[in-house]
Amino acid sequence: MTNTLWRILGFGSFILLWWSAALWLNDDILPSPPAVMHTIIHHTLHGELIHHSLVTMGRVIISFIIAMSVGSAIGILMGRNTIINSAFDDLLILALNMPALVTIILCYIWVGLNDSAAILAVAINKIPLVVINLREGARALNKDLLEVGAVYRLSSIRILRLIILPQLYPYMMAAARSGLSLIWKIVLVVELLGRSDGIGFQLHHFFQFFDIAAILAYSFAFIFFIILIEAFLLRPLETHINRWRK
Amino acid sequence: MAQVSVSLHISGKSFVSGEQILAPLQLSVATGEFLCVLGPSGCGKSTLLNILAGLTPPDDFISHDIPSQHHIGYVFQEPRLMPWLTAIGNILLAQNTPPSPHHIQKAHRWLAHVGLKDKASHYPYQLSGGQQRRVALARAFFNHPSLLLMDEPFTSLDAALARQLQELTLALWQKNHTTIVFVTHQLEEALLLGQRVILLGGNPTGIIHDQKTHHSKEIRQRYHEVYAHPPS
Repeated sequence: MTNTLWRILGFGSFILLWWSAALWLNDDILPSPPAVMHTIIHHTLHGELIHHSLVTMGRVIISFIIAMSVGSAIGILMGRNTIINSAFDDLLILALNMPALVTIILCYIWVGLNDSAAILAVAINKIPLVVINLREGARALNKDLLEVGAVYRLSSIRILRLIILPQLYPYMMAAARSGLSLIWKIVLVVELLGRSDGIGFQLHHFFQFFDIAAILAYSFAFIFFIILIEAFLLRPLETHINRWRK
Repeated sequence: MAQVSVSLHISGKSFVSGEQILAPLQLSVATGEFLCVLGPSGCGKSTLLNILAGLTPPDDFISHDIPSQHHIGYVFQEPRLMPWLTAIGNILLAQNTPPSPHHIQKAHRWLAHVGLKDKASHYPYQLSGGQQRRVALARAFFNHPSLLLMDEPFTSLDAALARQLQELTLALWQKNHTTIVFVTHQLEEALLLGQRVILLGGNPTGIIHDQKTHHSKEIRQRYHEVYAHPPS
């Protein structure tokens, strides 16, 4: 109860601070919260906010799925096999420190100014982070439980599904959480640099007109989508995964 | 003469460090026999069991006939249940192919055999230590293993609970005619459960005594000779 109170108090004072700053500053530089709310409604009803949000959402979801599956596979292999780990360790450091902007530019140049390049660029940016998470998980696998699988001569698929993956779900959840927010930020840059739709493209457009209300409106609208995914997909999934814990 | 289920003849077992833990030894177990392997902690009993299970290779097999292609059951010192699987799911783990409805029915029957009929959908954290061990027993017997290996499964339990599970093990063994190799460091447990006891000792460890348990007096005597201060 008190937690909810503090939550409301914290968020409320942020809104109040913003509002008073907006009153003090010029409305063009910092629009007030109601003005932004009004812009969101206006762009939803009469503009293309929904269309561009869906386009961006599509790119986020596809690159998220690719990054999670490829990153998990590589991470598990590196965590389980010291030879593979030594072979890829330096490449992993390289990939981790490769600037997102460089990957994006190179993908556009090599693959072309299309959606495949955009999604590839985002996935490449996220994969090393998933690998890091899953490698840690694969290293921490419980040997005693793996031995049970060996003694009962389970097939590799059953060992993976019944013994290994359940131990890795927490690491996957951590990667998914941090991944979703990171991916959508990179998607915007990718759109800004080389697509003609999506929120990133729109933000670029509004930037040229200094339409700060619209920039904030698009950002908040999309943050809202991400919060929905968190609340209705990730959190229920996490509860399901953790059903066997006390 | 009873049919031989397991016969093992190895040249010994050394660790990577070069230290030899097991001397050359020869062992055979008859089909349906309950064999207890008795020896102090750390003498290499578990290593011997792991060789039988195919988890650790010995230095050299001189000859061996272990039912490696058949089902092996294994009961560890701890229950080693998957915490994310229900009691039924844990029993079905012994099934190396995806379980069919027939297997699921069979798993429920096994749960009933160990007295946990109504705990099928409980997760390990919802079961007591004794109940978890019952599930582990059911998992070990589930596939009608041609060889069941047990590695001091009851030593960490209090006497009353250990007694209960020992009796359950005996009952399941008598009903299923399973070949069992049971490792323990407790003389009384070995005499209670086994039809035959082999006593391990020496350095490196070898078999120093091998006798049917109806000669329990001789086994006791030999045990106390070798271990003047028997491990508790």
